[in-house]
Amino acid sequence: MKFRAKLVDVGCLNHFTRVVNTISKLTKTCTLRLTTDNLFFMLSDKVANGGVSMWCELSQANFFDEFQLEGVSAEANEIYLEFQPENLSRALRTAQNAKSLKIKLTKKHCPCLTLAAELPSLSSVSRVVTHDIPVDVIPRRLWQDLKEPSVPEFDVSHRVQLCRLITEAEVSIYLPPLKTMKNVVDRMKNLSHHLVVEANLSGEMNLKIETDLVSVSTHFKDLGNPSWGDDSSQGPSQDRAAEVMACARVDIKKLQQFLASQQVNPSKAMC
Amino acid sequence: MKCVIEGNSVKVFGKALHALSRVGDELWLDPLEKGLALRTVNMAHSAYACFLFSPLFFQQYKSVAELLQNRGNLKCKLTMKPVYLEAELMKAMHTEMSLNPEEFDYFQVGVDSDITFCLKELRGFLSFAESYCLPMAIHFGSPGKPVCFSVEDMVLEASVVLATLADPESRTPSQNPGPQEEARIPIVLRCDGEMDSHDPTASQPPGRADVTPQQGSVEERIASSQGSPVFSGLARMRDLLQLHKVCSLGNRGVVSSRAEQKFEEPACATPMPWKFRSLLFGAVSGLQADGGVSSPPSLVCCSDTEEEAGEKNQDCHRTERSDLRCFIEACTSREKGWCTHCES
Repeated sequence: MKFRAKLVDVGCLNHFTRVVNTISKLTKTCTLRLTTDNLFFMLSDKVANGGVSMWCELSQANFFDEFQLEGVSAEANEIYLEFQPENLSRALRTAQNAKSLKIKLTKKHCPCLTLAAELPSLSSVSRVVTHDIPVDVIPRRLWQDLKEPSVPEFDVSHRVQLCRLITEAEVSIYLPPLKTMKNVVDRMKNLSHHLVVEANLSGEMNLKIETDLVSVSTHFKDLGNPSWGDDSSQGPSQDRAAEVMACARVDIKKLQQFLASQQVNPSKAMC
Repeated sequence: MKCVIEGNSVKVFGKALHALSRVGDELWLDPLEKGLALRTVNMAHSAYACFLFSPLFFQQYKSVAELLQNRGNLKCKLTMKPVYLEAELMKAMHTEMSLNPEEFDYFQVGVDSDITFCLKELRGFLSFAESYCLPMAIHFGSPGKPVCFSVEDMVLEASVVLATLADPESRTPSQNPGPQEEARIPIVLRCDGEMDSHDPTASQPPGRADVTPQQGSVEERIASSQGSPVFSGLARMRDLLQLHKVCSLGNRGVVSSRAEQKFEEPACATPMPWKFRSLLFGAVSGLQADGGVSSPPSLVCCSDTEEEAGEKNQDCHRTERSDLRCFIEACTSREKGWCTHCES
C-alpha cells in the first residue's frame, strides 16, 4: 500500500483546508477513502454518531499536482483509513503559506499520514514542518459498511458535495443561503430540541418549532427544486402535487452543528 | 507598597500576570529598588518565571527604602486561580520543525544538544513576548540542566526557567497524573553545532535547531525535586533565582539588534555553574539588503486557545509574530492536551 500526493497551488490548499475544517467540526473521527481519482471523507450512519452520517467526495485532480496510489491489491486499488480530522485540520493550519505540501502514507510507531509543508523563511533555506497523523488502516472486509449512500447523482458543476442525507427523497429543494438558515436555526435552538423542516416542489420551505409555550415558523419562497439526473428518469417525486409539503423532524442541535460547521461557500446546497 | 500604573501599561501588567498564571498558582510580589518583581514557581517546582518591572514602567513607584522604613521586610504572596488541563492520552499527532541558524539574530551552539521540557509553562510567556514583539533569548545546556527563556525591553525584563528531563532517552510515559497535577506537554529542543566559539564575528557552522515536541510523556518528574525527602520551597526558589541571575548575566551580553551585531562576553566573577548555549529568535522584523523591512512569514493563523467552540477560524496574517509561538500553538491544544512528538 502506497500513497503520495503533492499540492502546490495556494488556492487549492486553502480550499482543501476549508473542506477539512468543515469535516472536523462535524465529527471527531471519520474515514478517508483514497482511490486513483478521488478522495472521500465518510462517516457512516451509526448509533454512535447519533444517527448522523456524512459523505464528501473530492476529485483529486482539482487539488493535487501529483497523486500516486497503490491500493490494497490490484483489483481493490483503494485505501481506507480512519483518522481524526481535527489532527489534519491542525496540521493544515500550519501550512497555509506553504510553497508546497506533500502528503504520504508512512509507518512510524503506527501507520501515519505524514504531511510535510515547505514554508517560506527568512533565510535561503526553506523551513519544513512535518506532521505525523496517526491513522488506522481499515481492512478490506469492512469496506462494504462504508458504501456510498444511495441517492441520485446530483447535476454537479462544483467541486465538492457535502452532507448527503441517506433518505428516499420525496422532495428536493435548493436551500436558502446557509448563513441565513444558520441565523434562523440558532435562534430556534434555544426554544426547542426539535425542528420540523417542510418543503414542496414549488420551491417553498418552512422551518418550524412548536412547544407548549410558543410556535415559531420561518418561511422561504422561490428556492427552486433541483431535477435529478437526466430528464428521462424523474423519480417518484414527479407524481407529487407541487404544493404538498414533505416534512421531516430533526434534532435541532445536529442541524445547527451542520450549519455552523460550514467553512466552504457552496455554489449549491440541496436538501 | 504603592505603585501607580498608567492606562496603557495596565494591559502589559495584565498580560504578564496571565503569563505567570500559566506557570504557577501563587504569585510573589517583591518590591525592590530596581523595580517590582513578580515571581512564581509551579507545583512540581520544575518551572520558575519572573517579570521585573523597572520603576520607569510605573507612573509612581515608592522606593524600597521608604517602604522598609515603615514596614520592615516586606513580602507579599497572592494566590492565582489554578488552571487544570485534562489530558487525553489518545494517539497523538507528532510534529517537527527545523529552523536554519540564519533565521536567528544570534546562534551559538558548541555541541549537539537535545533537551526535553514541558511546553505548558512556556505558552503564556510566549504569548506575552509576541504581544509586544520582543526578541527572545534561549539559554540551555545538557539534558537535566534548566532552560531559560528571556525577553527584555526598556522597562521590563522577564524570564521563565524550566527544568529539563535528565535522561532524554527515557521518554515513555510514567504514571497518570494525579487529580491536581496538570498534564504536561513535553517539547524536545535539539541543536547541532560543531565549533565552540565565543566570537560572534566568526562564521558559524551551518547548525540546525530542531524544536521537536515530545510524544507520550504526560508527567515530568525531575530527579532533584522528586528525590529529596525534605523539601524547602524557599531554598528551591533561591536556587532558581540563582540560575536566573546567571541567565540574566549571560542574557545582557547576548542581546543584540540585527543592525548592530554587537556582542559582549558576560562578565562573571564566579564560574558559571552551568554551560549555556544561546539562541536568539530574530524573526520579528529584519532589515533587508535594500533597507526595506521584511515582513516575516506567518506560520499559522490565530491561536486556538481563546476560541469558543463553533467560532469560525479566521485567516490572520500578522506581520510581527514570534515564530516559535506560532509553531507551538500549532502543536498543542490546551483544551485537548495533545502531546506532539518528533524525530529528527
